[in-house]
Amino acid sequence: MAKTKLLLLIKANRRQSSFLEQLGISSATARKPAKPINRAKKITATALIIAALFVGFGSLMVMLGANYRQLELIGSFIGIKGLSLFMGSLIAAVVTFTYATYTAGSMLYRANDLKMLVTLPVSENDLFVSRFILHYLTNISLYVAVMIPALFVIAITYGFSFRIISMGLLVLLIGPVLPISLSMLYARLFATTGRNGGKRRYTEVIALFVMFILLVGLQSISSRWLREGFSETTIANLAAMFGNLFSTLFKWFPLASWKTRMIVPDSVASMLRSLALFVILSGSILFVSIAFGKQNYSKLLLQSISESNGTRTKRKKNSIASYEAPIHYRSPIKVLVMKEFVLINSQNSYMMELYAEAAIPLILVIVYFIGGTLGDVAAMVNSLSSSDAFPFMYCGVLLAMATISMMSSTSISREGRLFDFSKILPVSPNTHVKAKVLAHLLLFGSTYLIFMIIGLFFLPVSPVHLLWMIPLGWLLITLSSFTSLAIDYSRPRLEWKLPQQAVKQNMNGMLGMIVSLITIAIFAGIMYVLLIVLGLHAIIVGISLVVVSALSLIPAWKVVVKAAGRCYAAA
Amino acid sequence: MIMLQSVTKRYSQSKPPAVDNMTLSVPQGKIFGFLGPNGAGKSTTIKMIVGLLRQDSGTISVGPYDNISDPVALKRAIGYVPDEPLFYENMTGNQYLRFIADIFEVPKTAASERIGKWAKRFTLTEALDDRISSYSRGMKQKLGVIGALIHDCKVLILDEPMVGLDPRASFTLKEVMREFCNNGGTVFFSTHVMDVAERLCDTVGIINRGKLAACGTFAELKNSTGEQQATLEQIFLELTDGEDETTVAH
Repeated sequence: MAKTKLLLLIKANRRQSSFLEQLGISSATARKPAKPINRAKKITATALIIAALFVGFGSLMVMLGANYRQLELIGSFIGIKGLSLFMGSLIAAVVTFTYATYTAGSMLYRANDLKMLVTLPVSENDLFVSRFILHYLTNISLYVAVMIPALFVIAITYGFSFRIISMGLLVLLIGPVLPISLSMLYARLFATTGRNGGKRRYTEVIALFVMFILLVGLQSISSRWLREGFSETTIANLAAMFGNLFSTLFKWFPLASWKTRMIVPDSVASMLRSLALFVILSGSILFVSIAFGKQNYSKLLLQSISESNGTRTKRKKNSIASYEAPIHYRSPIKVLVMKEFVLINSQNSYMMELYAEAAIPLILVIVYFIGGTLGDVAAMVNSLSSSDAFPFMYCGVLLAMATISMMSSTSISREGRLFDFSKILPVSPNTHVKAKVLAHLLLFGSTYLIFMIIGLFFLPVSPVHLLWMIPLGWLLITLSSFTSLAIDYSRPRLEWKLPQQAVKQNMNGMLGMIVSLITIAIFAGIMYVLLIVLGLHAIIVGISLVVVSALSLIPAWKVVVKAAGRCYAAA
Repeated sequence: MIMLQSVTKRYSQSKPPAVDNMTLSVPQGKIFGFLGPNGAGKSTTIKMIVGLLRQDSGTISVGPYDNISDPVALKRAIGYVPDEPLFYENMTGNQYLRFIADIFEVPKTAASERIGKWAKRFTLTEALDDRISSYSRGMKQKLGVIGALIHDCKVLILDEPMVGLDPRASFTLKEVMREFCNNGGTVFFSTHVMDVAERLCDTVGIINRGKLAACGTFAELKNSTGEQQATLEQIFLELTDGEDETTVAH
């Protein structure tokens, strides 16, 4: 195998996205050096983002760590040293497998650069191995993130030692072999299944959905366990309840138990035996997977490219090209709203992100139910329901959820290079804005209404409040859409390689959410003054808020239309 | 040098083949122009030769190399410029060219020399240290051409190479293609510009609905149609008569 070529292929691919570019701070298109003021802004933004990531990542680590600590204590009750590491290893494997399954097809068979690489004199073996290594490098970080807190728990419990550090590093490095190899085999199975990639896409959506459920479930279970606390009685109870389950799991999953025995202080013989078994099994899995995966790799790759070539001119159900010639004239707004949803439906990542955002209240109810905190929420609602401000709290919570969305704040960015197509359409910026806002309302206004009405069946809120709740909700969602669009029109991220970079790695999304939350907070302040300080009737306060929100739409509309005008104008 | 024998490629069983039982031979030292209406199968044929697609049946070879049994050697022998150039856009032009040179195992000194030579020829020297993402369509096309020439290949395959090039670059490319053939290389390129094909090509192939409708020198094509005064454009229109309508209807 040509090591130089392998390195060349890997380096060329890894060079593509720098950390800052992934965060949307640095633009790949920037040719001229940034002005000093822009540089200062960039440094501030970078520092803020890194701080936010640090806090977010840190809190996740702490939560996992606390759970692992509980598991370790339970392990001491049931005689399994390193239970935290064992469970961490299992969870890391499942999470890594699920996410790697989602990304495997793109990396191994459908990445854009593959169309260039197959024309170069690179052997099937080199190409496959380089893609597998890239796939490994892409997914190993997730495994490491889930495992690190478990290793810390072990180090804190048994003391830092050379054995824990060296064996820990080995586990972090080799541990993902099984899940990532399995994901590669799964991708191979569906590499060319189904014309137009229909089944393939279906399997990836399933993987992403499972990942989503897994994360929600993990968070719920973690919260539930954390609420149990660390007292000896609690741990003893948990050990009595789950002891058998953990013991069985420990027997059934030898690869994870070997990892545990390698790291947790025990006899040297046990460590060496586990180390040998772990390395031999992982090595064998890697060898067999690569040997199997590279069989007919070129053929599958070319079939995949052939399918994408063959479908390029085919009218796909969910593509812009699928618009049939209109027999009757349709309004530009209607067509543009359709375009918004066609774009969303064209990418799994957009669908999962935006449709999941629209269903946040439902997801939260499920999380609370699984986490066992639904009763606590109900008790809190009961204690607050006697307050005059309760309908406003209810409306405010729903609105906060409806406006925590990236629908509008990444709407222009999602168009990517197709934005040039939008620019040449004979449609005014106003019409574009109206269509985007309407699409936002269709998704978030409708779900707000549905959740609001369903909630009224369970909460002590008089239906008469719907008189102001519905218009206030729609007006504030519209306002949120205006401000979010203004942000995205001002600094759209149109150059991206992976669609998720337009949404997940786009600062506009976060900015849009922050501005929307500030807006809700301002309206809450107005409500406080009118209802609590001035003592006005709730219905009058509600209607006043409707009037204020309607009036605030006027300047917001001007701002967004101005930003849109600049954006759609020829450069 | 380039040989296609009874090559067929289908994208879908329910549709006519994109390339239907095509047999074609391009001798060494010649410029071969590949013409045809939109959707006739030009790009599919080129993609099969360069290894982007695999034929359902038939054989394709470049020199002694078969595209199925010896794909790496075949790829080493050719330089390919696609219709839509694909790059690692975060690389600079220079980094990309060095990447290609390394993949083709061109020695470093030779690579530097060739990069300098071709960049100067295509007036891309100043932009070589800029990121490819900042390049215009024409600059990317020039970079693609330089990338194809950097390893001193035997066969140059270009899919619509003039698209996006300014008149000077287009002229340079035509010059380079002619010099390449004079030095024993073979050029296979597709184009829609009849004027270019008529003036530049030694032989021309016209593909229509996946089949080779005509192939030969310009004089041979005139003889075959029986119109000695006809231009290549007139021959093309006659051979592909009504194709535009059928393409639209299709």
